[in-house]
Amino acid sequence: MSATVLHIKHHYALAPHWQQPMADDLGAKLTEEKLLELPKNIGKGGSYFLEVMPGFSLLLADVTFFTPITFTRLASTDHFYLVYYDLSDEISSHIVEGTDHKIGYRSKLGMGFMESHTESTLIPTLNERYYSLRLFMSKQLLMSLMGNSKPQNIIEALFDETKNTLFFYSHIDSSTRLLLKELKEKSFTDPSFELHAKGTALKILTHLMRRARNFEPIIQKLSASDTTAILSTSQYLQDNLPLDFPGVTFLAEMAGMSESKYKKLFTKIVKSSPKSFFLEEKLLLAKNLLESGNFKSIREVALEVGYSKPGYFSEAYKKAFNELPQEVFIKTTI
Amino acid sequence: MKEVTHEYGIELFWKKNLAEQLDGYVDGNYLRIPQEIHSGTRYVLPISPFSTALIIDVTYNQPVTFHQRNTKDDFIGVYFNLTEGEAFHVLDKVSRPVGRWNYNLAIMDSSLDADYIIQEGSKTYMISIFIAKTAFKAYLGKLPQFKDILDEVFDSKKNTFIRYERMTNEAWWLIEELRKIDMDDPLYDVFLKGTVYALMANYMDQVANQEILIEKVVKEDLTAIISSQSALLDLITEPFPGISSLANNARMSETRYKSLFKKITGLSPNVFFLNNKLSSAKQVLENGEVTIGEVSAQFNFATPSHFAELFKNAYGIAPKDHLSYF
Repeated sequence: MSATVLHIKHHYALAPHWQQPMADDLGAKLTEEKLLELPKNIGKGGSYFLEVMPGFSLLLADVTFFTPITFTRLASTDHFYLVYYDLSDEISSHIVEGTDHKIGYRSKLGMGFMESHTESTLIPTLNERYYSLRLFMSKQLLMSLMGNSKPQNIIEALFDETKNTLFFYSHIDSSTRLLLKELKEKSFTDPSFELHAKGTALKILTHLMRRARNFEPIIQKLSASDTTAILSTSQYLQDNLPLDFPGVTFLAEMAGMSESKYKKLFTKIVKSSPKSFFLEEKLLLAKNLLESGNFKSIREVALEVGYSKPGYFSEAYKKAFNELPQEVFIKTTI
Repeated sequence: MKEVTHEYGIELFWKKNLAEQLDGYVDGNYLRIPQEIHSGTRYVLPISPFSTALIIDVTYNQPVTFHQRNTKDDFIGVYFNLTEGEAFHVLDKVSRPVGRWNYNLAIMDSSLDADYIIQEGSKTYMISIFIAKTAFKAYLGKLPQFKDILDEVFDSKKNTFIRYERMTNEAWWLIEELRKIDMDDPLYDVFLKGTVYALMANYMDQVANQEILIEKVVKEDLTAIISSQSALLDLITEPFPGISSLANNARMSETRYKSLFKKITGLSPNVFFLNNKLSSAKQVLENGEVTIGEVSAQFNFATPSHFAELFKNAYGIAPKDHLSYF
């Protein structure tokens, strides 16, 4: 097996000029500075870029890679904000390595928000359709859309890069998910695609801002190592949903921070405390398992996600989703 | 009664005149109109360098007659109109109402004059989108059926854009969603732009399935067709009067009458008549206490079984099965 991994280094910008170097590196075809089509040896599909209005652009990727590839997004010279939405399963199950048939579960956060002058790396899964929307937004636009949700001095501090880093990870909200699913049905080459894409991006921007307005403002700079440390603990939690909550002491140690700093940074990035995040993810897994049709009883699902008392499980579930487990449970037919 | 002569455009030069004709004034994106004329909001937002949207969400407190006289012929107006009831009447050249407004979506060339009256007490929710013909041309150019005729379609000496139709369910939902958003929130403008793009995308998908008839149309043609439709609706229980008498009443040749009717409504006169006949017959059936045979006779269908067959073709269900739901 060939071990060469194609490594594409690129940057993004609000204007379309960043695409040509990337197309050249990929050997891809770029049409009208909008549509980028991958060569057949690398993969199927491509991306679609549009300037929607001043200070607001969209990039939609719909690709399946056939060859190993890594993308590194370099820090941009101009300053703007990026949000991405990855439309793939948020809960995945896999056979745990080295065991016969033990099933492991993992939840994934499909949405991320960051500044353009940070770097990040993406390694897409081979032979799997990757459908993802990115929005590029100017600082001026985002600030103007905060409305009077917060006092003006707080808004200014939030968007002051010398005082604060805007960065968070989350699940995609359901209205956005619905809009993306509709867009996914359409082809980049449909005559009306450009209009559909602009409409979708603008509406998603309003959903993003509605959420952002409700976030508790934690004004703090984040270093790359802090961010990596926090994300590795959140991934640890997401990979171990059936266990009991490991405790903040354990997680803070894992992140190499004091407990108070850990809790503050975790809440800033994930928008929940470590414990409530863990419980929310656990219940989301439970919801998936209840609806999967793979279990004989609700009790079995409760045990699978680490609740030994089904009554307690039902209560927590009701609180999270405003419905009882039996309302969504699909019993196995085997 | 208020009489207003005004115009629209992609640039915003027309706002001030429209506001003043309605005894009001321009306040940022809003046109502030006094309560005596109407309550509610008129809001204008440029969407892109090629399009502008006007939102009208008002209740009229006196009848208002509008004479739309555009000085620019470089745009097309797309009007999503949710005026309730029979409040909206198209006027002929001596300002007589010629017909009820049975459509909620109109596409009109800016070169066409329009005259209409809105009755006192009526509630209107309307999104008007003014799109540059150049942008419209770029979009339509992507549709295969326009490929060879694009230049002819956009030649104002040969063709006028005019179409009355029903908006799709998706369009209706898009508008309902917009109506829930607080207009004073800065996010409203973003959501409105998103809605306008989505409505245009939806309309493009609708047009993709339509046949195009290249024809020059003037206001008198339009009123003649609306008036003819009204006449057909008044004769709904009778047999189809025939093209020659309809064309004669509209003072046109049969060929021109048929082609204009189809261009404006997307339907031939026969199909328009039959659709409305079936829909009226369906209503009579649903009201109950009549047999299928009686309804068939009342609406002058040849036989009850012929009526049943047409009904099934139109609604996908036989009339007697449909009745069993009531």
